[in-house]
Amino acid sequence: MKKAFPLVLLLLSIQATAQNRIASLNLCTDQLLLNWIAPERIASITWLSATDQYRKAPLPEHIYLNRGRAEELLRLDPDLVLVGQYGAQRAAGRLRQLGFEVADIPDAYSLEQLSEQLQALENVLGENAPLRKQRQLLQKLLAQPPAPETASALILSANNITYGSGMLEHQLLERAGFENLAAADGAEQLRRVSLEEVIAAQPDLLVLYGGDKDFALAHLAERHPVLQRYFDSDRVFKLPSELSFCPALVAAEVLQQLTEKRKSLAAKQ
Amino acid sequence: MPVSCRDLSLERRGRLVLHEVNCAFSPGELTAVVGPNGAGKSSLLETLAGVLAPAAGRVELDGRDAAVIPAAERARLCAYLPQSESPAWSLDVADLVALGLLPWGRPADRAQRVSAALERVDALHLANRAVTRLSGGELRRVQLARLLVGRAPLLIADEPTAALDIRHQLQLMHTFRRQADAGKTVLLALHDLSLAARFCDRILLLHGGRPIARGAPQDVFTPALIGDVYGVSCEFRWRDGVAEFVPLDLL
Amino acid sequence: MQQNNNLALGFLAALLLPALLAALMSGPVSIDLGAALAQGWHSEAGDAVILWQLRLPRALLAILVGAALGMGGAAMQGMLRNPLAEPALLGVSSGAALAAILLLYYGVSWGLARENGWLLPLLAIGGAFCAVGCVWLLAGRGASASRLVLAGVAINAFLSALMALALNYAPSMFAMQEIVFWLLGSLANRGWDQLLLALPFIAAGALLLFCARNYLRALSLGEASAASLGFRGRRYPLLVLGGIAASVGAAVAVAGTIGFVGLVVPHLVRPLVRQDPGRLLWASALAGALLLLLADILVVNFVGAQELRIGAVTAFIGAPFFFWLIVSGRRGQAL
Repeated sequence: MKKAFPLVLLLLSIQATAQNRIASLNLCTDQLLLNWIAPERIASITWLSATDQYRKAPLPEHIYLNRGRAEELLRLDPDLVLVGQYGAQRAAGRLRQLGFEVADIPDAYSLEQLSEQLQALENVLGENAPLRKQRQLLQKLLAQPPAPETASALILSANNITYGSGMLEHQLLERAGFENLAAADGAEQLRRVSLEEVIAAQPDLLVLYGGDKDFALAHLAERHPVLQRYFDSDRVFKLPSELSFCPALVAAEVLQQLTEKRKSLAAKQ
Repeated sequence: MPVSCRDLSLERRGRLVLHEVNCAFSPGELTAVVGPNGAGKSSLLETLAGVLAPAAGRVELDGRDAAVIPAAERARLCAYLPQSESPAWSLDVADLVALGLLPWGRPADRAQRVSAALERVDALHLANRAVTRLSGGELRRVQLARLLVGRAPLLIADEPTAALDIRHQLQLMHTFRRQADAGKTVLLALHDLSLAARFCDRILLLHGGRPIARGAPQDVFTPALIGDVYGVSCEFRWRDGVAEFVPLDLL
Repeated sequence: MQQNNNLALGFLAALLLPALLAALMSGPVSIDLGAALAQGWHSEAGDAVILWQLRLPRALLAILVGAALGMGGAAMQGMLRNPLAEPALLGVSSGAALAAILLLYYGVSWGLARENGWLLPLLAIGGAFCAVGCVWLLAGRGASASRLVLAGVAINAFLSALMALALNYAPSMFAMQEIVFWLLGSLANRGWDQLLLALPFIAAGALLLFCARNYLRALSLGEASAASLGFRGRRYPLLVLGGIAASVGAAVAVAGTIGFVGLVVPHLVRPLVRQDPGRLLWASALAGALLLLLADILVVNFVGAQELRIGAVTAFIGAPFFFWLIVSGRRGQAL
């Protein structure tokens, strides 16, 4: 009985906010909800968001961590279920059949798609100040003509991966006024790049990806002493790891920072 | 070099296999250690050779307690050939014999000493052959050369004649006899009582980890004593100091 | 005969230099080797940096790790009196790798790993020492080949399973896929820091084995004979165990487990040293260095989306050799 008591409380609290309870079946929409929505309106997010990898702050206790199954959400009776373009499709279909409101939020792999994603989110969530601000900021940045390419950059991510012309990261670099050397070399998607190629390409800016706080051999290349000169001369930029799994959160910010980085590089020369 | 043991006891896997053995061996003597299986022959020889450490009592080499002699020096005093020594690698004969010189470091006259030792066992022609290509008798002779190459004053061999044909047995025993005659202390564990009686000066009869009798072959090899220890009826036919041992039946 | 053998060993040593040159010329970027050499260590030019900071440390690491593995294999075969003994096959490398994995993925953050760099090889050596001790105790000395391999396979399988388990629960999301680096080894993205980390320990291991060389020689006659030749007590086996653990453990800590070098190399060079277990140590170190350097040249020049694992290359060379060992064993030759 003692054990059941907090559970009853939990159920009661869910009842109390029944007017506006949103569930998410997608890591990125999890993050968007956590960042932009009052916590009491969140009924459930995926378990991934609770892992050390993605959790930035302690999660409110009442939020149920789902594993993408319809029956889990059934119990919570949410007003709105957010699903991504891929994944948890079976659960989404099932919930739709049962009469729940399920909204598809498209994934974003480019700046243009990012605007669409934010628009879709605004459509289902209604008026939301931080969301609108982010969308407007992004639209403003997109409306500006791309800066002329005055410096070169190369992305070196975990496992010696670099990003080609078809990637969002490339767009950000380009708009910030960097020439992405991987794209110049013909890379369209992801591509392996050895340290030798990084050194030979001699980019003005070395762009690393975040999320390397835990050890992995995958990050060995970024730690190689041969790159020390880039750190010493402050020619390194670190992309936040959110950019890889939920760019809507940080894309505008990253673009601004990259632009400033280019300016500071130009000032040094 | 005189060798003796004082109240020597040895434990193996928690079991006492030697009980307060007291005996002495003199230079120039060829001693055969005999006794039934499990009597403690190998244990005694291994303790004398310093392979095993005694549980109580001590071994004395030239009057010194062997336990305080440094390992390398002790190895220079005593050469030991275990019952079944099989080389792990297909070494050349000369290289195998040279291993007997390890306690001496790398003496300058290494090659000569190896050749001399091989010559003494009539195996010089085998010097460049791989040991895996030797017959059983040839291998024993080569191992004997390994034993002799260091010129240690104490030689110990555990059943050196086992699994050899008659000619090789005699050859080997003659070599040991010559070593004893040259003033060395030689100890052999033997199963062949006739060979022991024919070549050895002294016999040490072990039974259950205790010396039962010690003395000249004529004194130890009596049907009563041997029959008692081995549990067989037997007789010894003596002719010109050479005994022929004839086991008759189980007692 | 002996002269020919020394000539062959000299030839192997001489081969190391052209192999090193080939390694320095191999890579995804084509560089002007002569100019890069002339520009020297401190040059900021791209070619020179690639040569001095990337290719040279990697090639030297291949030499060092290969030497350590070859020497470790020779010592292990000598100590167990068994030509099937091999650090990777019998779980010694896995013991080192497990310790390294536990430290790297769980124990410390990046910063600590860099500041207390010595901890990594030390722990790996500890792991290797435990594993080699287990093999030694489990198989017993002078054990039959089958008992030895049985004990080794059991230890290796158990430790590999623990490695997979440890990586599975590691906080980094890349950890799980990295089991392949640890099981097959890798020299990619290694630099001077790893080389300098492993060097003192491998040198110490070589020194220990050097002190134990006469014990290994005596041991070719068996344990009792070795004791009668003056090599009594626990000191000598511990010396060899420590030497193997130090050289193999340090090599595994920086390069993962690379198999078959320790098995194949001592076999190949044993005739060249007339089966002498003492000289075999140095000959195996030499041949192991050459073999791993050549294997790494193959890895670097291999064209593919992913870099070929160096352990796969050595296994490619080693496995057929193993078959040959079995077949020749069946023909009744000495194994």
